[in-house]
Amino acid sequence: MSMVPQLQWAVVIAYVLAAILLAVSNRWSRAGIIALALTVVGLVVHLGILQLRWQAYGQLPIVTRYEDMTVDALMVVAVYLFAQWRIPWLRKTGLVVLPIAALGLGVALAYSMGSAPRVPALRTNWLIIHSQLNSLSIGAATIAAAAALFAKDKIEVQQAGRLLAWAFLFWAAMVAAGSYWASLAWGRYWGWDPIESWALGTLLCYAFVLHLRLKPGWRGRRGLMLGLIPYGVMLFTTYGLLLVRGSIHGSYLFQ
Amino acid sequence: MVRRLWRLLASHNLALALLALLGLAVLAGGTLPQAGRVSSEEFNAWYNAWPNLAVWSSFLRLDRVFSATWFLGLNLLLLINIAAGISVSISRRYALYKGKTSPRYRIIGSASQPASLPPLFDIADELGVSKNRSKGAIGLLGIPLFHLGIAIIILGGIWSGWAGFGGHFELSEGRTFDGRQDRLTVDRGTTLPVEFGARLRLDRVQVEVAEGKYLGELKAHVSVQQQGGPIRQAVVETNSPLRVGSYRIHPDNTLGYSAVFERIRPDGDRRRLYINVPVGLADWDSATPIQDTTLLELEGVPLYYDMTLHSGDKPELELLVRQAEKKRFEGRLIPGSVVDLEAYRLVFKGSVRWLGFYLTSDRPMRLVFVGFILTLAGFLLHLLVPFRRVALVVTPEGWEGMAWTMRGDYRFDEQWRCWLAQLPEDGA
Repeated sequence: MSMVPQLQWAVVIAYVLAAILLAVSNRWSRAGIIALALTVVGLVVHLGILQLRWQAYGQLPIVTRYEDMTVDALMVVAVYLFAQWRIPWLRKTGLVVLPIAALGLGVALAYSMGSAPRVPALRTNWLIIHSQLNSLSIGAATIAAAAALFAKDKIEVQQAGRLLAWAFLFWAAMVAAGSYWASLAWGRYWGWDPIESWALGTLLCYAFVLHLRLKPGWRGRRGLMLGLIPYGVMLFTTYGLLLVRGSIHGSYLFQ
Repeated sequence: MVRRLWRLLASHNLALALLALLGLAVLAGGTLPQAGRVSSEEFNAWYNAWPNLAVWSSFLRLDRVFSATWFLGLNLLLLINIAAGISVSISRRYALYKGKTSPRYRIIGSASQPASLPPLFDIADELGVSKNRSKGAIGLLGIPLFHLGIAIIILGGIWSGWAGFGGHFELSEGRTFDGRQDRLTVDRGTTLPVEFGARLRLDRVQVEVAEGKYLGELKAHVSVQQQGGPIRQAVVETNSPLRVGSYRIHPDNTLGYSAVFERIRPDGDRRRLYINVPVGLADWDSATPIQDTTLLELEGVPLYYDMTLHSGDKPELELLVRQAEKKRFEGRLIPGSVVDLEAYRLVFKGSVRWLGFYLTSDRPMRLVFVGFILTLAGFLLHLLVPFRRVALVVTPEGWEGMAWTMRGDYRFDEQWRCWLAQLPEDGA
């Protein structure tokens, strides 16, 4: 476990280097392939860091803020690799996506790397489902936001719009899973807690953008760029809100 | 007039306006302290720190967004908008399914048949005759299902807010709860919606504290008897509530020790009296005496009990009883000690552990979860199963190819363009 910070910084460097190589590469140039290989190696080491932590503490690393940000960064890179495999032009979004993942991973190190025994409320599979859907939606939303910046022609705009819809779906599933879990743990499925309210607010922002994109004047890049607003709201809900408002989520998680 | 009203209620613009307003309202409610949802101290501190903002917040009811009538009104309007939108959407999708709308793609050929197979057609299809091929019809149901799910969630949420019930009660080891309203601190609803109809006895409390401050284990071993039926044993723990009729009982992580007395009235009537003292997790396993002051009004006499309880094998209670500023009793009690307070006498029996529970009843909650499932399933269907219909019509002048798809179906767009590329320019 003592070498984890060094490994984590190595992954940060790998992602940043990959982004730089992507910036100077063409689609199938050697630099582009090296960038991709570097990203894959970074992801494998990234996964290894979490595996080491899992072994050391005997519990899935998805509870503390350090763990949460590390898993989110992992999911951002994993979703990016999957998306660029399915839709090759998305490879260039790595220019934005990989530095974001590197930033998340670096900021994670600023938080305590300690762990705490898991309280009874967190000993359920719903924690895994809820937190992984959260990470997945952040991954999909990050790619969607980056795709909005890079999409050029009509088909690329449509594909970026589809990514926005996937981010919305994953976030909605995360909210639904959290709601069901809350009904089991606390006896109520919704309590208008600040985190819950902002999670719903994020969903409504995405719903607004998706509906707006159905209108003729908003089907192009203009409507797509508007998708950056719900992405910002999503990031604030996940990482910023607990810094300014107290929440029942903060008493269990993200210590 | 009715038609105009209908168009307005089903309009996309109204949906956009409602989504924007609800989004802003929810974000405001999640940011500004909400009366009744934060402690009065926190609320007043914010009010004093931001006096100008607080005045506006109060004027616009942004300090109680989620219980405001305008918020309910927005939700109801969205419900109506969704319901109207679903009916319009279904009729449009049916027309699309039947090919009764303008095709999104169209091509006319002058030859007797196209030179190659259009998308969705397979090798066995004869090109010289009129044919229709469609795929993914079930995908057309995706968005209506999604909206139906949202409507059900809103409906269930409103119903749940009106009919839901929740209240906290405390139960000491050996003590029974039978649903008496005066044992409950209600925070949702007013009275029990239906009779509790059961007796719940706390047999044993199992608490483990990890590293001196974390809750490691919290289990309540209980006996339950419903409607005079057989007694069954159960374990209540977090994430695994106990179901009793239409109620669910959750441990709410409050715990402590009870000072147990026998209260004897002048007429000889004897009853158990439990005074619960909350304990922090850090003190649960330690031998530190726990202190508490509580006001008890028994036999019409309000008395303050200042207590220091030594729990464990040899329980002791340091007790000071006051009526206003007048001292009525002061002393150290061991099991069997008697305190005479004139209106009644108390016999100290010892100490036991208590746990806090949350009693809840929320039948519409199921509706909300059905709504969630429909919403997710509908949207998934919409994303994964695109509807496509291709028609090839043979005319005396040649042939005509038409295709109907959902907007943004870029994969079909590619297939169609690929097909067009295979056609000779002079024939199509």
